[in-house]
Amino acid sequence: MDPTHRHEFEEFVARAEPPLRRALVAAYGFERGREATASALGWAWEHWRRLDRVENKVAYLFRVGQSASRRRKTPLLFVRDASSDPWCEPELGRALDALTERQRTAVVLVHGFEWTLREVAELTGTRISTVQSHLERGLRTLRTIMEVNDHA
Amino acid sequence: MRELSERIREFIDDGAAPIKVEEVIAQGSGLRSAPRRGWSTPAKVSMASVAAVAVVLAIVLPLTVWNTTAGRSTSPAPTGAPRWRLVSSQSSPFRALPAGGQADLQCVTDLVCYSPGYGSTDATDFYRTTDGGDSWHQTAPIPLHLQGGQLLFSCADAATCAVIGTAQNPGEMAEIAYTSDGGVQWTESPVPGPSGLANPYVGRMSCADGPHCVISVSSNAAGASPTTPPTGTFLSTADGGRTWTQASAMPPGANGDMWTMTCSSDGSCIALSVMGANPHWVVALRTQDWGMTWTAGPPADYNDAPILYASCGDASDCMLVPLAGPSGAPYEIATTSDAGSTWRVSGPPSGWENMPTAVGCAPEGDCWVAMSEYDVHSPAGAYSDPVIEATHDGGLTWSALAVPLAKPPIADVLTLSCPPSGDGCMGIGNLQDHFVLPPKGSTGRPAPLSGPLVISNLPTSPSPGA
Repeated sequence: MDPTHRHEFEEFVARAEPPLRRALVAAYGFERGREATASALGWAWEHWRRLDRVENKVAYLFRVGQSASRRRKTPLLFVRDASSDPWCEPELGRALDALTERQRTAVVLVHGFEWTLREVAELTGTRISTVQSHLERGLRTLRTIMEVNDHA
Repeated sequence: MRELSERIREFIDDGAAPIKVEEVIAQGSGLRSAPRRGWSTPAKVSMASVAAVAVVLAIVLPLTVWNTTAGRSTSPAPTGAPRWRLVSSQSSPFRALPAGGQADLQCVTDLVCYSPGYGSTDATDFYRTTDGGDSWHQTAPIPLHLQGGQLLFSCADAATCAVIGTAQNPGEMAEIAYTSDGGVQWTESPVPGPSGLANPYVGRMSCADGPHCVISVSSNAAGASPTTPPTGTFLSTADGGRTWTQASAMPPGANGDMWTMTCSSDGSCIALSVMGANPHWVVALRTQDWGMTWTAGPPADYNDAPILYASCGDASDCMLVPLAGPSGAPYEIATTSDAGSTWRVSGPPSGWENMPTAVGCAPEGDCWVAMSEYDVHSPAGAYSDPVIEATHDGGLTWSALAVPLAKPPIADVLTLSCPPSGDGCMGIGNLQDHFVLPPKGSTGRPAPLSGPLVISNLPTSPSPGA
């Protein structure tokens, strides 16, 4: 890759890495989500010319990451190893685990990161009404679980 | 208490550190995979190119169908071919399958299929049908614990299945539950961790000929880069999981991550994996002794083409659907009938939809490919007009059968399971309305109008030998 393309790619990573990582972590948890992000960006680096024609690169790479992650059967989940910092949100992790992949993606991106329903629909290849349905169901479940835990 | 949105934001960002561009460039993708579904510009551009080529060919050549270099053609289904029928949109296992979800379904005969339950509170729910999907019955509880809700199973025949669960004791890699009576009773056994692998986990499992099962094992070595290809091995059991034997060695260069693995009752198995770092080559790993010794076939004729789907009907016949290769088509069809020694690679026949959504294969080159028209801007939904193409000669010729009429129309078929009989497949798909939102202002729960639907073109009475 020539220096111009490398510079383009660096700018692209700076712009696209945060939303891509958040979306894949939302779907697959910390470890698999980050791994899928790294794989997807690596694929982008290796196929930069092909990717240049893609309109919505983050959505495209989200599917690359999905495919990479789904091939593996390792558990997802929002768990951390013992060596990491103390976790201040164990109940939030458990509550997010209880959601479906689509619900989690909608809740995290729309509610947590202020994506629009349209942006999530384009990311996941579903209709806006479907995203809204996942969001409402996910938020209801999340709040129910966390409220139960808060009061326990 | 802080706002939930703020807590979610911090939780997600604190849990996974940003990825630096240097890390990406140094490691590459380590990836053989690609978008499962849904792309925008490249598909349109490529399909436009394909259409233009087809128009030129239609003018220049007196052909009514587009023959590829592999000699493939597509045609309407022969008279008398079994039609796809709508089995149900409320089948128990799939009622809560998320919109766009792919089900882990396995049909072992024309009438007997198995599936996990989706959306239930107990991830070990397991269902069986003995009437081609008209009714589903829950098996006895599987005595396993599951983490992450991903039930991995394989059934050798109508009565024999094995299910993998999470390890419960030190030294175990996993636990296996085995039934030989269709799920009336289950026997639980530990699966030991293979020697020489750090943090091993089960990748694929294939069972055949009663109690014989082979599992592929991958490793996430501690401290390894996320993009470092895992190494792996195979474990084999001949007694329903009570005892296990580790393969002698992996072929040089092969890693442990398998796209798919299929065993036949004679002890031969095929596992599709990749070799090399960049480019990546798809290779078939083969064994003739229930996974004890493995050899690698030559690389497929193409390289570095991300794989959308892979399915093997037996230990010799497989089909891959890679993303766009040198032909310029949006995706390709690659088939082997000699356990990966040679691959036939070509673009899709003219007129095929632009988005393959599922592939299922039966023995001896019978394969079915489901596809839909994908247009993210379509008011009817991103997926529409599904068709399922069938081949009975390893991809040389194809015939199309439309999916059943439904109201609302079927959007896509995301799962195909095709029993060894070769009579057809059962499929799981979605209608164009997965949910109906409650009236504005209502706090009611969105009601599912139509669950994921089950379709089938399998005979409703047993065929000889099925």
